[in-house]
Amino acid sequence: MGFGQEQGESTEMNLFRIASDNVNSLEQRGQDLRESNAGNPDALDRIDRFVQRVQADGRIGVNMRPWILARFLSRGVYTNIYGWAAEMAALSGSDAEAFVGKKLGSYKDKRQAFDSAFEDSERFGYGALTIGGAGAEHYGEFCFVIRDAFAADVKSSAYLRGDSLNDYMTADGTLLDSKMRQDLAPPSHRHCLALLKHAPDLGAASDWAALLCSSSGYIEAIFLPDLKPEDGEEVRVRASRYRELWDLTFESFGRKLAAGESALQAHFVEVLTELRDRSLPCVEVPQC
Amino acid sequence: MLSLVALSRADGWAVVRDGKHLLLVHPPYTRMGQRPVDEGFVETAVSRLAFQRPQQPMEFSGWQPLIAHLNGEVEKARSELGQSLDDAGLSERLLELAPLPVLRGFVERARNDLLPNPAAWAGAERLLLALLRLPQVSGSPELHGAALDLLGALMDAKGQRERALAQATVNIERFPRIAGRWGGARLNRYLGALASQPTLMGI
Repeated sequence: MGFGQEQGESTEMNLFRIASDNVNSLEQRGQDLRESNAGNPDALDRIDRFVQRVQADGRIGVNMRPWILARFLSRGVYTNIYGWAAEMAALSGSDAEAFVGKKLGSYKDKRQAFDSAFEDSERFGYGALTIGGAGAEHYGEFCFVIRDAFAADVKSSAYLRGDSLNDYMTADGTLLDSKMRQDLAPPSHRHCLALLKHAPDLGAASDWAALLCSSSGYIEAIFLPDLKPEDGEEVRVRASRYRELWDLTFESFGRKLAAGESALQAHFVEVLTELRDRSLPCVEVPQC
Repeated sequence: MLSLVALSRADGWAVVRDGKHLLLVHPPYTRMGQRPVDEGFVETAVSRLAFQRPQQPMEFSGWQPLIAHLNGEVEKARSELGQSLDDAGLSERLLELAPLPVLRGFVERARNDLLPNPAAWAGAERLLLALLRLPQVSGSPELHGAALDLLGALMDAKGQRERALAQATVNIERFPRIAGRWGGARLNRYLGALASQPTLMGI
């Protein structure tokens, strides 16, 4: 097993084992943080309530655009870029790796450097830790919230303080190995990671959901199991975006929609139909 | 000058460089919907979110030509997949999926925005007829009544307008020389003004 080895050696590392092995360090750093706030009862109270909130409400959210969500719900399985390339290759009878290379273009080396460092990385699914709100909306306005049981196994899911590709890879494709080892947590200790990241910024409780997960930043969740629609608990969408989608429906009775708007409307129909058929609630959430 | 950095042809989401800023845009391409992003996002968009970088650098003089290009790309992508964008029943299908508060909002908005505008009446009629066929509307006496009342008001307004247009034709027939000199529309405006405010005024 590649645990403990530096990037560049032939053996791949097990991301989930590194996360599990980080438990003692996370607990110790969490304890140190509490002790450093011992003289400030308000701060201590906020810290404890935040931890409880993450423990109780923490879920993995995967933000998807209507097109992606519609495709995921109708096909019944979520595919990453490697799954997509395999499909394309099967359809065209050509090489999946060529599809990946063409798709990634100049980003191919960096992405593949990350993926080649870890076991099973071609099967990794990505999301973010959420305790409410519409999530990292720049990835898509619909936040597919996964049932907690889906990713509770320490052998197949882990949380990273930031974005794996942007925060733990240098521009030339070198993995920031020691930084990553410090910032990984297993599902049982994701609250510690959240606390260590956000303790200095904890304000009103109403702001915690957006603090933890938004387009500005998030704790990345990496998981191995194939994600299916039935693993979902609910789909969240910001109320103003939800209204905008319905406004478009209203307007479609009075004017011809542009191509992008028509496509959006078609995907919205697919999403709502699938959600209804699967009894998966679509929940409007307030503006963060 | 705007340049297209990355695009998802399936749904028209795009990253656009506007001067020093990178912006994420998506249909219906409103200013409010624009979102600042960074270079890291472009990388994520290409490697994880099904965006593509254009093969050639693409620059546009403003938002209008850029949005026209994005719409064109969506149309082409849909067409390549054999998916038409002219699905006439799509709006009606969405109504079937709409929750009651959304439908209530539609009736309210139709009353406020569409009823005063004769150019919007055809769309309003289509909307109201579609609403009245929905089981969720039939099951809500209050909403059903409101939609029916509005359809009645719309029919009344259409009737009044048709009568006014018929009267205008009569006016032109009665005063052919004046209508010929000043135009029928001007004559009808004058007679209409005279009827509502009977003061002698120059034509």
